[in-house]
Amino acid sequence: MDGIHDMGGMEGFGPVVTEADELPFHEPWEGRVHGVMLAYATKRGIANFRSRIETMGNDYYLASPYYEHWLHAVEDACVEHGDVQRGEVEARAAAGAVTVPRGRSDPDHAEMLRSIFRPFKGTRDPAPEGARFRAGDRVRVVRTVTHAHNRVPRYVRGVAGIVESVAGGAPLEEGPAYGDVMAVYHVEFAATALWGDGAERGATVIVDVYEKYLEPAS
Amino acid sequence: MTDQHANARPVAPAAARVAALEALLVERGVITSDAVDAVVDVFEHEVGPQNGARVVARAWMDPGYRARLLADGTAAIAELGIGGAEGENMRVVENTDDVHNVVVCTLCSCYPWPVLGIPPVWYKSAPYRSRMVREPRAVLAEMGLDVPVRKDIRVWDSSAHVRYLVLPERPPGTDGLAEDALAALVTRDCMIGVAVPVLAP
Repeated sequence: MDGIHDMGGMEGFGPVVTEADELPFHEPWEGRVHGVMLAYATKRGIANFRSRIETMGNDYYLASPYYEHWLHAVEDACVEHGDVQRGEVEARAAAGAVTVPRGRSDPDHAEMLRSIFRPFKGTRDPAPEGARFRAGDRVRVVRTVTHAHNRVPRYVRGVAGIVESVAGGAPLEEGPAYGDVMAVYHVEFAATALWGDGAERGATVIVDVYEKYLEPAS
Repeated sequence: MTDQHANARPVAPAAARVAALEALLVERGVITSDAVDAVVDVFEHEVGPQNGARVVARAWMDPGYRARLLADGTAAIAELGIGGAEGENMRVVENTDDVHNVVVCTLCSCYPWPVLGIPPVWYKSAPYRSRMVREPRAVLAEMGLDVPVRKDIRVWDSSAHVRYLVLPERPPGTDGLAEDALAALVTRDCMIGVAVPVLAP
């Protein structure tokens, strides 16, 4: 979906504003969103997390803080699974201060959630057999993409670049679901190829592009 | 579908809504709050840039480790007991005398949780995501890093499954420092690529 989330190269957002001594979560609710997201995802599964964020509406996306995007996506998944009804969260929140029941615990689930932040993989995921491109190949990003979720930024579409290396393999997150494992490439684009004569000198942008979005370039 | 979502924009503050959602899910036996607490605790106390700093300091001390780190970030980082979600496919990119690397996610907020923790708000913000791929040198200068003109800038847009860690150059004058003292020089921003380590005066 070519929504507002695809921000690379846009102008008009102003300067980057940094914050000294920033905490992981600025307010407790942000941590709760992150925690509920992972707790729910590991119980029920949250498919299409990014796609759910992208369909929240461009104006709402820009007007809301980052963790509200997540909250929207988690709530949307909970509704789809039937665990809450649409509008129910809003109604409960509007009804007055909410007390979350503290009586129940699930130590096994809590430990499982801790364990996902420890190494569980020995190496990077390899590209599948028969990867189409190799380091040094000249490639062009296709212009045709799905109207549903895709992982190819607008600013590289139609642009030619060089395969820096094979980035490995990953399931393509596209449309309503994840697909089969596909080769992914680190593709280098000269700044002038992306932005024209006004580009900064000596700049290169490397984008990770799934094989499906690439074609050979001469 | 898009328009339906846009029209359903909620009124209650996000803090109240997440409390309501958590309460509903707990009451219905779907999740428990101690599971949510565990995630918050991990990000507040276990994972964070102190992990990435250990990786960088080790690479500065040990050329063999550095070579393994550049060849397979996931495997080398796991040697230090660090890894997990959003760090399954790590690529470490090395700053040199000729090259400065910097990382962005233009589409969302991809970030290597095991080594850097939760991304700062600016990393997830529209100005950073929109501008870093288009005018990196200018953005870095605004953020306080003047990259020498002789250096090329390589901007890595993490748009798929790979997560990035920048291996900064070891600052001069640090030859006698022990590994933990070196790690103390390595900030989160150095490993995103919007700063470089400096030896405190």
